[in-house]
Amino acid sequence: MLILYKNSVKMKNAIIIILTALLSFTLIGEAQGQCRKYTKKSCVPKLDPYIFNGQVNSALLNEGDIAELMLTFYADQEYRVLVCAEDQLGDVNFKLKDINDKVLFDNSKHEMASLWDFTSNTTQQIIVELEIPESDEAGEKLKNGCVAILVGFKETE
Amino acid sequence: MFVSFQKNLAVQKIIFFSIIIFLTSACNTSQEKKVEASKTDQATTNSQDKKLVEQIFYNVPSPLEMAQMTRDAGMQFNSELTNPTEKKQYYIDQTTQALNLGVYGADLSYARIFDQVQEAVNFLAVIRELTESLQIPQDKETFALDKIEKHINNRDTLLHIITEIYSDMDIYLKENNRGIVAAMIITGGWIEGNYLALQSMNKEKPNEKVLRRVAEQKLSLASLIELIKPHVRTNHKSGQVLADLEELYVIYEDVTIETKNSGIETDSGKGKTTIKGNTRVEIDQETLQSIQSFINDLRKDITNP
Repeated sequence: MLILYKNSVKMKNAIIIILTALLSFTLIGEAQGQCRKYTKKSCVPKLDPYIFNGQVNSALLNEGDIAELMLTFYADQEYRVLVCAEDQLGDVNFKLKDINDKVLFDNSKHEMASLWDFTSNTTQQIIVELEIPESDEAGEKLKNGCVAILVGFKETE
Repeated sequence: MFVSFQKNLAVQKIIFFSIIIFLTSACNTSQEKKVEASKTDQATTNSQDKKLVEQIFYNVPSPLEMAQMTRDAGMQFNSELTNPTEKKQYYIDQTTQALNLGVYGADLSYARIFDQVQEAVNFLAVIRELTESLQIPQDKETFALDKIEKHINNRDTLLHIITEIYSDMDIYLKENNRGIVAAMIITGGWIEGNYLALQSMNKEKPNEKVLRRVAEQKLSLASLIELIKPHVRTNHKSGQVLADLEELYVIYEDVTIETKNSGIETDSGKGKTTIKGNTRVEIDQETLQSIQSFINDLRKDITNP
């Protein structure tokens, strides 16, 4: 009798674990979907008057996380690089680096600007690196939210 | 007692496999997560060797940029180079449909850049059919051909439509774990953009600007390979596409590109910031011909399945 009771409890536990796993998986998928919707509605319009390259780079990140975008930038083409993050994440630090690891732009030296407009006189691969700031206060709830790195270019006349 | 032990074992197995299934599923939704920077290609920063990068994105330049360059280099529009819209009926499987959706997207960009209004409308129609076949929901407003035709002479409206269609598709496909389709659309666009530039070029006396841009595709090809790698499946058409691109990269290894940035220059009067530097790009005639021939074959395989 006792054995049957124990087995029934374990079976219940197993079902709870399965359901929790399925629920978590559904919620992760839902959150990622919301993140892309946020990117389309709140971030893409900020590229204007530049033309969006059409590739959506967005993710749910936690404080302290690092993300990178690698892209070829053509010579003499005008570009806008935009880093767009949900408010709860605070000011996101981003840098543009060349393949030799030379920092070309660091927004912490430009009042934490969320975008940078530039031209390169050579075609090159540039890495856009962003880092989500960590909370200063201990015991504060871990921050997370949606972040997007978007690139736009200008049409030449 | 023995029965009870067996039951316990069965319960433990259920819990164990449930956790494994969950973890496997969770990993599939974040294929690019937790990538060690040192494992990516040579272009990744050295300082990140020991840092864990939560997410690495790879982008390739838009086909619009390539088309713009061919126009700026003085090339003429040639409608015979684009993929005939009637071929759409031969694209049956999803990978072929996705690749050709990219091809037609590049053709649409090419037509738009050269102000070929009717051509652009025709490409939009075939793009709409292919998105239907791939079961990608469409924004009826964006695809309303009568509205497009009405505003077609507004160059900015058409540009807006092109961008909207392709970014909406990218969002939808990634949201629905169909990254493979999104990756094949980008691949088709990259191949067609390069095909158009190479075919527009004078073979005997190549335009210096176009030749340089063709050589520079070594950089975007490296990104394209990294972009599609997490999505392709072996023993699948997409696996063959990746193998072909890797083979093309082997040819590109004979192209030399060396960049040295000297600094940033800001013209406060014009409000412009420029990254100043020098790049040495070298490509010999033999390598150019090999690239040309390889891309022709690749494009032929995609558009004539």
